[in-house]
Amino acid sequence: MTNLMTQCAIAGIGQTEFSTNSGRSELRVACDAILAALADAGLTAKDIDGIVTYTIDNNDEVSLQRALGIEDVKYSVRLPLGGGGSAATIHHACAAIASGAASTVVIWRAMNERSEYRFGQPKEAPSGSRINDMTFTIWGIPYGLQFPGACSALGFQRYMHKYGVTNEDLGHIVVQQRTYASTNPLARFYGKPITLDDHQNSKWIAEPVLRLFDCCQESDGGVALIVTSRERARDMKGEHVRILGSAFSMPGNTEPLTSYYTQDPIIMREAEIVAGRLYEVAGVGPKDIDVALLYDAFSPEVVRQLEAFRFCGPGEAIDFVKSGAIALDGELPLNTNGGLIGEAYIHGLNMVTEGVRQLRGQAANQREGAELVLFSSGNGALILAKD
Amino acid sequence: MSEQRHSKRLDPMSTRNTDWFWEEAAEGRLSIQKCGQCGALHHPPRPICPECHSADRELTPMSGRGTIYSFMRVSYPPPIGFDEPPLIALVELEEGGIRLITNIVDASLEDLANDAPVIVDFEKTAKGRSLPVFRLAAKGGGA
Ligand SMILES: [Zn+2]
Repeated sequence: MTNLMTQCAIAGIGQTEFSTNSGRSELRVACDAILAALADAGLTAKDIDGIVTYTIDNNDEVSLQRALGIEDVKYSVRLPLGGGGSAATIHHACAAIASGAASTVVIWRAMNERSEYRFGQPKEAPSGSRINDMTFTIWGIPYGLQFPGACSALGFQRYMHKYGVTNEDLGHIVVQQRTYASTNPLARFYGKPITLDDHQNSKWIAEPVLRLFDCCQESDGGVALIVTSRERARDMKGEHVRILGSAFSMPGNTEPLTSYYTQDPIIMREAEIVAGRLYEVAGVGPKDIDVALLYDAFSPEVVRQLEAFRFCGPGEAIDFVKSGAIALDGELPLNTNGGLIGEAYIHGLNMVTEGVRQLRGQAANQREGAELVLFSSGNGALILAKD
Repeated sequence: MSEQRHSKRLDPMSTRNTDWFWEEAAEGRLSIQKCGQCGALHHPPRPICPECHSADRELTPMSGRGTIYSFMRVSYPPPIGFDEPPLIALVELEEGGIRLITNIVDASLEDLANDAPVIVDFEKTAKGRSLPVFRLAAKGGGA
């Protein structure tokens, strides 16, 4: 019997400009991104019957529905884990469609995280009830562990010790991503490539792990996706891409960026589990992937996911990168839009729009003949395919 | 109690599941939650034991000895509550299976090493709450 979870598609993508100041409300940014996605798919708001996002987005579902004029929402979920849940939104949209709970689902992320509240800066106290339970807010703040970049660095220092990796090694990832961003007109860092020296001269965030250029930059902006069945997508206006498979995992005692209490905090256990499920359901393996999009809020997370998805062995990610593998003509072009570090930090959803563009042959940095694209946000991942 | 260098330190967020940890620290104890039924140690604290679901918990003082699992110096953006960039570490307690986010005090970044032995000390926040911190055992810190 056909697994209906492999029979869904992304039928439309939309986004706003990515900037340091959107000049309008977050609700307006969300509406603009969703209207662009609807136009791409050739749909109207009346066609939407499911709405999905993930924690940290400030837009209320009722307000969004009211603004867009969505007549009846049959399915809505707001996933946990912040950006770690970004890829999982698609998994859950597919589940809704496969089960018949909804037929056409919009997924969104829209924030003014730069102009309104400096999302990545040190915090005295968490805001928003959902964030209160996170490890770093309770156990980190009095010790100076007050922002996401520091959280990523603290766990990764042990990896550097184990495998003899330095911050300069991480710089090779960043330089490649900034090279991609420099030729992507949608990117915050369009026209601004950097050298390894530039990377090494950027200021320390958390020595000896993380420098400023290892970090994504807070961005205002929105992205929206339309997910539906392949069958319905074929009748829509836009060129859809198939969601060949998706997976989700929340392993016990793990947490995005602060998995300090697991047996082996060096590995990204959630991504290892997701990788196993994803390759199995999609019927492909790491060697089949043409482009990888790995959630790179901070460069160490790229290392951890390269290994979790078995693109290389444990401790081999830096050698893999230095071999040229992640360049456009390498064996695995990586974060070809510049990633969250180079394009903009829209909490992962802008990696999905890049994946769709790669398969439509419309990417700024186009991998010739790309047929399979993998996107991971750690707790979730999916493989997109030409259809 | 060490000399008060970080008097601007923020208080830990107060919750009904975790306040006891800081209250123990105020008494000069580094205590960890131990299940009263099955004896398992758990950190961070939680209202019930995830192994046997007992709500019976004992606050168990640790030896205060451990090793540095990982470490860093956070300098930018400057963390709130510090005059100098703090040394932040994950310390593994010798009782096993427990790691704490903490500071290494009376040391510079160059002094720190993975697996270096450390020993607990206590510092106060600006408002007078106590925090367990650690110092390098080899540097003559005593308890
Ligand atoms: Zn128990």
